Amino acid sequence: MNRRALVWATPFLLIVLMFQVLPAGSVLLGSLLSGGQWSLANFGTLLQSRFYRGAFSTSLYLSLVTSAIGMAIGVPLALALHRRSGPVRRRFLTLFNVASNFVGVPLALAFTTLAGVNGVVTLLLTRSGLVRDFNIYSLQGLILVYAYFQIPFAVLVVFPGLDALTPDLSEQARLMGASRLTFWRRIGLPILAPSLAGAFILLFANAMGTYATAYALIGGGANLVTIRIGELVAGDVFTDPNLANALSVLLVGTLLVPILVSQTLLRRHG
Amino acid sequence: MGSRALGKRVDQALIGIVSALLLLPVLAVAVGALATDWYSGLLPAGLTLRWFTDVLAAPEFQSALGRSLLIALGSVLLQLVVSVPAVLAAHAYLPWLDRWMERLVILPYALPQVVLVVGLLQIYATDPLVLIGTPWILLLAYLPLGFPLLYLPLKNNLRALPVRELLDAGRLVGASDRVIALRVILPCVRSGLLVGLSMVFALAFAEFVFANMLVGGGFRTLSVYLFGQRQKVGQVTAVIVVIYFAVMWLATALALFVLRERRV
Repeated sequence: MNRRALVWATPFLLIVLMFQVLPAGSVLLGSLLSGGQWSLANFGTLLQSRFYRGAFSTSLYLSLVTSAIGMAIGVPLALALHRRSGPVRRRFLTLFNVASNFVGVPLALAFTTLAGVNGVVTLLLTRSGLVRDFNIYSLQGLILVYAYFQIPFAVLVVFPGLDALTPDLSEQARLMGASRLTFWRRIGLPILAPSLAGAFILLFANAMGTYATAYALIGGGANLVTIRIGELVAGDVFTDPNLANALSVLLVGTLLVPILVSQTLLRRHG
Repeated sequence: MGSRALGKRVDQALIGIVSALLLLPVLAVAVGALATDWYSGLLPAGLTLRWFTDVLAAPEFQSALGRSLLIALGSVLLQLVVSVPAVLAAHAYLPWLDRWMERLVILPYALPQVVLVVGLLQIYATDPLVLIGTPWILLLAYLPLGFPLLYLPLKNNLRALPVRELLDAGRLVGASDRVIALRVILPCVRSGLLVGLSMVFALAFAEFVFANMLVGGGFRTLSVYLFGQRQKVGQVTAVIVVIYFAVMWLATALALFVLRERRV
């Protein structure tokens, strides 16, 4: 029976192998090759370059800041939604689902319309004197646009874990005389902590890996790791596949380590 | 009692404000798509459908839209034929594969698309298998990319279903595995399947990184076409974004609508 089941799964396994495993393996191998020889020279080049180190620090900054914004707004929002009844909940979850998928070129263009040089928001802000000049084609602009998809994404990844906080749990805590603050400090947060940490890491990875939105908004001018990788394989000026491989390995490393740690933590907490 | 009513008010305000902010860019684009001219002030001087008729009449737009729809429908079909049988087989008979699929779900976050582009360009740009520059690479590379979107809702429904027992019982009465899967199992999990497939559709329809870097001009999809138009008149890009959004929203709404009809 198992053999027949394996036949059913074979085309899937083959496609995953060819289009996910092989490319990843090729990137890893290529990163260790320099001038046809095994070496760590590519990593050396990257770590010594101020340009590429800058790309990493900008990407890390952008991802940490927008993940924090996403969680700061998304978690209270998910909690508020969790307290509402079924139909309301479902309607807004659909909205957040659509919004978190509204990324890439359309999102960048929408924000150009809204907050570009002649955008409504820009005009409102500058004419009212609140802001002297706002530039969407900058790091601040990227933070704004990333926040747009990070907030609904945070709601979606945090929401399922909230079922662990059953209504009778807070009811019991109140009966025993615990204040709201005590409840959250002693019961709520400890229960949610592992899933919140996991959510933060997913948000972080989501931002670190984003390419299309930043590329469509600013193009090569944004010094982000993903933009540099894209430039190294498809740029007009110069291409260096092995440097792209090494940069990719470093990027995947910064994503994989926290993801693996959080997965192990989540599993231990059951 | 008073604090509870206040809490509810705060909840409503929070949900309302954030939702409004999320809808703002969509609204701005919708207004922009209808504006005769908006560069002079906060609100457009007048409204017109001219930009819509202009864009819709452009042959390049029509073929890009057609290509994106083709890739999206092809991706849905491929997931149905390739991934669904694999998920069923793993769920019923191959626990090791099932555990492995559960882990695969996290992979799109650990392996950004740009990284996959680097690898795919190294493997499929030269002999023996040249796929770069053809639509085939999109169909095939979207499969693992869209898999988590299908797996999670499908698996949710499968958990409540005795798949193995159904297969065994079906075989006793002489039905083939395929017939049991198509006639008995899939109808039972249609809600998860539909939600998953609509998300696969939306992903394949909107995807830009692979479409631009692996194929580009060879098979210009709507997202690549839109990117090429970004320096044009604001209204033109706004119209394309609106159409884009309408198709994605329709796919999601259609799945939800069908589900509601069936459930009642």
